[in-house]
Amino acid sequence: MKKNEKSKILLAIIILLILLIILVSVQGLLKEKEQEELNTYNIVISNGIIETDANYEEIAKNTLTEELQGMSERDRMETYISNFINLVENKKYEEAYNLLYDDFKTNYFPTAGQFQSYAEKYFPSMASLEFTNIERNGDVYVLWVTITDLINGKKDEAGTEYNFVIRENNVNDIDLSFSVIEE
Amino acid sequence: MNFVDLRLKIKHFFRKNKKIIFVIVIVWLFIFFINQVLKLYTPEPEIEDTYEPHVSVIDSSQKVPEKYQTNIEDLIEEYVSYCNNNDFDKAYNMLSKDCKEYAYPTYEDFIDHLKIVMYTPKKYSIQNYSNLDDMYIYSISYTDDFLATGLTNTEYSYTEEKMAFKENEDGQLEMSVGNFIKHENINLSTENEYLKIDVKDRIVNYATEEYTFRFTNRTNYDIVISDYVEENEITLSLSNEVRGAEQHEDIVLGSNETKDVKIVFSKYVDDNDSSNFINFNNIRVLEDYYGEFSENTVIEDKIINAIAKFSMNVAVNR
Repeated sequence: MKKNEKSKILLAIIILLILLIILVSVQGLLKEKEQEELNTYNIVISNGIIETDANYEEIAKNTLTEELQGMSERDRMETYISNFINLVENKKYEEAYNLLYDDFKTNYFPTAGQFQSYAEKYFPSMASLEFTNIERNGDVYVLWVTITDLINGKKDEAGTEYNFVIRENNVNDIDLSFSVIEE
Repeated sequence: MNFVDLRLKIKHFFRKNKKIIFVIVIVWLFIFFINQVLKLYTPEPEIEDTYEPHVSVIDSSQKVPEKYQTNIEDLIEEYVSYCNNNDFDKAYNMLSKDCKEYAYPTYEDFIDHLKIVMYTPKKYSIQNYSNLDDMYIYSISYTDDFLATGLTNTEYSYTEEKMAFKENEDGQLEMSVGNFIKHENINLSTENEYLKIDVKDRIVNYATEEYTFRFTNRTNYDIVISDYVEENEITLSLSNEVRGAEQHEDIVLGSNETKDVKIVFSKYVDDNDSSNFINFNNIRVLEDYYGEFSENTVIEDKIINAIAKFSMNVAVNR
């Protein structure tokens, strides 16, 4: 190969590498910019109701996911249940409903409205949770949870014991069900 | 040195070391590029998960070889699907030859087993329990679909059985269910002038060993091998302990009688212990047997006046 051709090839390699570096750097910059935009969110209080924008929800979800990643198995399951009860306490029934396992919804709460009616009737507006037991069967976890009504519960009254059943498909991606009080 | 000289010197330097400089620049750019790529890559953090279906419960350093894992999962899935779809005959046909012959000799025996563990459609989970040389034992847990019910108006419960998997001569995995592990021919014996004891075979289940004996009375007298009158009439000698037999019918031979009897002992297949001998510790040769409902004084009298009293041990491992 002639000397001139060799130099041209080497020069082409250098230019290609420079272009690749520029491309990767631009990607990195775009990712950083996206993250910065995500870190800004708005909270509006309108007629006494706190409204948050999509960024806030996304940040909250990412924060929860990061926290879950550092937890033990048992702590994760308990956090999922706490999060679910938290959503109900804050009247975010749609979000709580979306955590429920599809077949469970079909069996007990075919619509979100039915779930909301149940939650308003049976779950307290401010709850204390006591986790008394956990068992794992394959990839499904069963927890025994006593839920006490902090506002309306009587002093010496034991709370209501529930079973919660969770399958963790991925971190912060679960199918959940619970023992329903049937009348 | 003026500017022109300097420029000439730099030019001369580059011209002289052109190749090395090119190589260094390329290598540097390459490293820089890799570095930028790695910055973009955020690895998935590992989360704690205790469910490892192919890691042994008994010894967590043991794992089922990967080449068998998918096959075992597929076999179990197929078997459970057949049972859930009421294709019990297809499920029965999946069993190993020995499992069918010694655990479920008839199709009805198999159905009786299913009635206990999973007669209605069930969800299941698998867990490697223990591994013995060439055999992989799994614990299969059956439950109702409690994710779909949330355990509403029901308690958490499950049924369980052990399944054993072993590669046969054709390289195919054979499956046994219902805690059945294997069958072994033994064909060892011991004898004296009064009695011959043949150990024909052994059926190994996960938690028991069942031996088939043939007792041959060589006399015209009655021979009592076991009727719960004496203590420790039949025991199994392991490497580290001696264990009594499970409940069984009285073993009494009439004059010149031959009788086949099955005797069961508790023994876990994965306890790292071996069964060495079966001991018949209180064999009594009597003029005539006192019978099941005799009074103690009669029994004592008969035993004191026995024609012979002795013990016999028979090996159960070659």
